[in-house]
Amino acid sequence: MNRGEWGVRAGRGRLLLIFGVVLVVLVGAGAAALALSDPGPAKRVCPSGELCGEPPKLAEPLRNLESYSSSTLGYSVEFSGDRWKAADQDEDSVVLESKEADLLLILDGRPTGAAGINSMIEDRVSSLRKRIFSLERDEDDDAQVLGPNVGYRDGTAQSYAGTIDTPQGARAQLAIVLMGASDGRVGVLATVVTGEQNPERRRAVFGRADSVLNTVTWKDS
Amino acid sequence: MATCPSCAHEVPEGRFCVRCGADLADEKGRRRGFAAASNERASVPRIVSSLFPQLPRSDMDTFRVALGVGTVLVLGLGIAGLYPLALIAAALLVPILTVLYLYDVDVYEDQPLIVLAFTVAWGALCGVGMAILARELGAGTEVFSNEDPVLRGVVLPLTSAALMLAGPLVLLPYRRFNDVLDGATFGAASAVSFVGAQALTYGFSLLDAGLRPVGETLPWLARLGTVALAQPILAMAAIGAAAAALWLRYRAPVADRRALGVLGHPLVAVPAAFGLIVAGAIGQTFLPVGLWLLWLTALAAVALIGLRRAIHLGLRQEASEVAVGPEIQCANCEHRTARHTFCQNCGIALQALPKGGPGTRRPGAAPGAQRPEAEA
Repeated sequence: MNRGEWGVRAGRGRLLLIFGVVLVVLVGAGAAALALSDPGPAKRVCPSGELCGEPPKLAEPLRNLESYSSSTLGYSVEFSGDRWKAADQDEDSVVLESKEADLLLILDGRPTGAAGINSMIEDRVSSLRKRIFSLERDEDDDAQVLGPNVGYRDGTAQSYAGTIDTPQGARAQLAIVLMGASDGRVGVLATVVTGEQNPERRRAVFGRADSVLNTVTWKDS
Repeated sequence: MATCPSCAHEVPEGRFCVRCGADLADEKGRRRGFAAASNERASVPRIVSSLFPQLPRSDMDTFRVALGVGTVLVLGLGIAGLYPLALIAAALLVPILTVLYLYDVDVYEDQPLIVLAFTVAWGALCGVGMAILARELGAGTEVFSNEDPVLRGVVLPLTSAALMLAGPLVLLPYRRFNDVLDGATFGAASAVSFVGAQALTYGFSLLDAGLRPVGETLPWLARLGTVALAQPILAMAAIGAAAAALWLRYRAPVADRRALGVLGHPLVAVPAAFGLIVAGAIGQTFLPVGLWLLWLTALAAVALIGLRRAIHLGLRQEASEVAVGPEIQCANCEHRTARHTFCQNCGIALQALPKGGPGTRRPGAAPGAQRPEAEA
């Protein structure tokens, strides 16, 4: 057949009808989808003009560190599993050994206020004397801890030095820092022990312990 | 000549029997003095005459003075807070005296290299090795956190005791070294060099803490006492007694092998010596340093008595049926005495005197003053 012999299949009216129906169907489908996805109006917790209820709950934090939590006292601490090993732990305390340096970090908890921290330190010193002979307070300026804190709570610190002794002989000198703080209900005492003698390396080693101590959190904090 | 009331032999007249050392003036023939130092009782633990039994009396005094001065020096350094220096001095004190003793009494006769190799050098090398092993087994703060009293108080000390005794045993087949005193001396020399080398090697890292590290003085003084005296004396006496028992068992005439009784049998003496070493080490794991020093001192006293008993009875039993020889000059009292086993004037065992031959000793010794069996 030659082009131009036949006319259009629908007239102008029919064409407008088909257009209208398709448009209504598509718009209707969209409307239905929007209707199903609508969250609805916000639920009001408090009567207007009044403060009530709890603050918004936060989602669980992202955890890429290992942690220890005291089951009885509620304090917790986080540490990198690549750098530290939990050598021992119980309901109140944890012993962390550094995998990278001659460094030991012991955390002990006790129900006590800030006033009880000194008592914790005394008890720890008494315990250390049984393991480390010639333990003595280190009054050297380089050994002092400035701004002692645990978990960003101000506390108390004392420095000691002593020697490892075994039946085979007396050997490495140890530098020991005792640092404790309390939230008013629970006291946490950190015992940091290193055999590192070089002052600069010892400072770096203590820095590693400090980064762990900064992760200490108390219950309900 | 007189008849000894103790051994019933005819012996030259004098204060003491030249065969058994009994006091001829005592009707019961009792011998009260220690065979290697007749002015001392055998049952009283004395350091110098037990550990250095072949010294003449005057030289014993010299060694006592040296030991005393050395101890004062060690304690002085400790009081001054120079702990690393004091530790070095303490670890070297008795080993140096022992080497001087070996040189002084010429115990190795004409084979110094082999004797020194299997006593002093062997002990020192093994001590260094054991210290390195002990350090590897518990480095730094691991010792603090993971104390293992069985390893450090039993396993390592047992291994150490076995090593101390192993070196001298190489010398056991040598006929030249056939006296109980040789065995005791070799064992003691190996033990003291082991203990000294171990203390030095193990404590080497203390030098990193500087000349005057922080530390309480009194505990350090007690610890220095263990390093300087208690530990080396315990090791020397225990291993010396064990070696003496082995020498008596395998080098003495058959008839003399039971001289020390059951306690002198190697199957009893060696475990007993090892037990003393372990008991000394394990005390450190649960006693404060002051009490540990006392504990070591008590054990060392027991070991010294055992060593003295071995030396005393060994010397008496080795007085075999040798004929009484011509007169010689005793190197101990410098009086004339008939050549046999004991000096008839001072009662010392002539065998417990330096081995040097004619012309090799100091002026006090008479020419030809050799041990009785040298001619026999």
